[in-house]
Amino acid sequence: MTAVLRIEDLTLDIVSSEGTKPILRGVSLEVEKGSVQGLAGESGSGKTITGLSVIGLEPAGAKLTGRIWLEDIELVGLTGRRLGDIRGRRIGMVFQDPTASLHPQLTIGSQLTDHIRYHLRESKRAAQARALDALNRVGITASQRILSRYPHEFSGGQRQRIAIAIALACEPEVLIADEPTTALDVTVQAGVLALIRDLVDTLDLAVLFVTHDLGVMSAIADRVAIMRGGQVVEAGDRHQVFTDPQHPYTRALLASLPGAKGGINSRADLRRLDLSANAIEGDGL
Amino acid sequence: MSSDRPQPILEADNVYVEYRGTPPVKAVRGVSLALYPGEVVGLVGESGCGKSTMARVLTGLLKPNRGEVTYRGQPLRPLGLGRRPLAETGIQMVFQDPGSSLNPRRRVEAQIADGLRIAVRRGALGLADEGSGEHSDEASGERSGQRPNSGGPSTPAEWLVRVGMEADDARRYPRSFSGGQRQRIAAARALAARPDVLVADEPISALDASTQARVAYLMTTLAARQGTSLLFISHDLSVVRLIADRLVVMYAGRVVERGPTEQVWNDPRHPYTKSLLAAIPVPDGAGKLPAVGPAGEIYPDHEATR
Repeated sequence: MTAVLRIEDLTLDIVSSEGTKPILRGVSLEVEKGSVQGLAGESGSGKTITGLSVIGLEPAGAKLTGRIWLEDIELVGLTGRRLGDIRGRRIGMVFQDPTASLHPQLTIGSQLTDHIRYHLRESKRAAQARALDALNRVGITASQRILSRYPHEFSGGQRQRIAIAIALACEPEVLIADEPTTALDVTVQAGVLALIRDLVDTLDLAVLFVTHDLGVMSAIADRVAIMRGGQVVEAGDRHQVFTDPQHPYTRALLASLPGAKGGINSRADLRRLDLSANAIEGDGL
Repeated sequence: MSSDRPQPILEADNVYVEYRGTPPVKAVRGVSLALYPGEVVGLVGESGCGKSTMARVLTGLLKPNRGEVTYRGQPLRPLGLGRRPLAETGIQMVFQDPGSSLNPRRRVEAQIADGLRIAVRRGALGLADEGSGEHSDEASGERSGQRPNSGGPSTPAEWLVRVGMEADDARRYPRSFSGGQRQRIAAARALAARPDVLVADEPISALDASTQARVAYLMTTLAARQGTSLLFISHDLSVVRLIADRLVVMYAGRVVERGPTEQVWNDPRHPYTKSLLAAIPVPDGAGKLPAVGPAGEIYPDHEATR
């Protein structure tokens, strides 16, 4: 398999008047074509910042070192038009909250076609045809009427499908998906996960899927990386990480989850839990 | 349901709630729900099903358009702007976001002391502490009278230890704690009031996955120890099914299924419950996508019989 996206030894510090705060400490990851690389961790682990760094959206005051390769293009340090040509065109993004990523006052048609025309320089007519294709691909039966609707006229699940349609409209090689189903109900989430899997398989897409939810990770990812304290503590094949975790943190994490191997699957399992507030933060990890 | 079952401690009878708007939102459409002494009931459903509206109705925060709530056999008076009547402080709540239910400008000890003070004023402190330290798997139903104290926590520091924190944490302010720790503090504050009923509305949804089962189980054991009934509201069944004695499933403003947890979990009868359970992703590494229900499915809203 070929890695389309390669993150090598990424380190990120936030420098402020209060000093230097390390956020990422040597993160390395590869995302292959037609495959989902899951990136999981709890709040503050650095998983979201890793995803954002790939598209040059690291927070203000961030000092980034290391390398990020999109095939043979080095992304770290890229700015302005050169970054703009890649972000949204060769790397699509989907975030947690489609209400925030979609503009509430623009029709979904204009959001799709503006995006397509900016990147692909197509005629209005061609962009509209591409927009309809993109919507059909995400399971929204597209029509001229649909294009003239506003985001609020759609349900949460449909809005996330529209956000995915926009992200994929210019046929990027890589999709960065940051908690794309976290705000959705489980019954709606199931549909969006199935959609992403289908797009990976049919478009040969490479996806970096960031989530806190190991159940979602287990469903969608081919390879899994577990982050903690700005580092990848364990990475590997999905089945291996979930059934034979090597790092004590991964083991502790799985041991506290319902449904996991060695996790909390009965009341007896609950009774053996260490209930103190620092149970998972505890030493030895 | 056996005939010798005790009277419900808190009961909603055929409640309807409509929110104003064009068109009006029928949030709850004829829900009856009873909570018996000492039991843990999981109220589950997805966004917009009416479960949080029911939490507000059951705690007197919202007056239903139709139907009635009774607490200890008396009609529950919806809260106004004033203080909750002392007798009704036997109903306490924990919310999703402990950051907004704790006062950021008061030390943790002062806030837990509020709960203790309520218990003393209501004459509930010094009440039975089961003291076993074990979560009883059956609803105990024993907390009907006022029994002498057998030594539950009686200071904020003791409560903090009881919820898995340090006694020294009492002097600190909420901002210096993580989300999970703050939810433990909120639970301590609510339980220190020695309620008959604790209504917890999505209390673990904002927490890291690794702490969810811990906090849920902690709330369950502490409630059980002092005979408090727990109504645990959540959209996430994977944890709830481990702590609840009974499950109540809501969909579109109605209860569509209810029953003992094991029965509902292992043998769901209502098509909506079936879809809901099938959609839960399992962290087993199998790479199995959760089942997708039929597109545009509108489920029947009558309650499944069991």
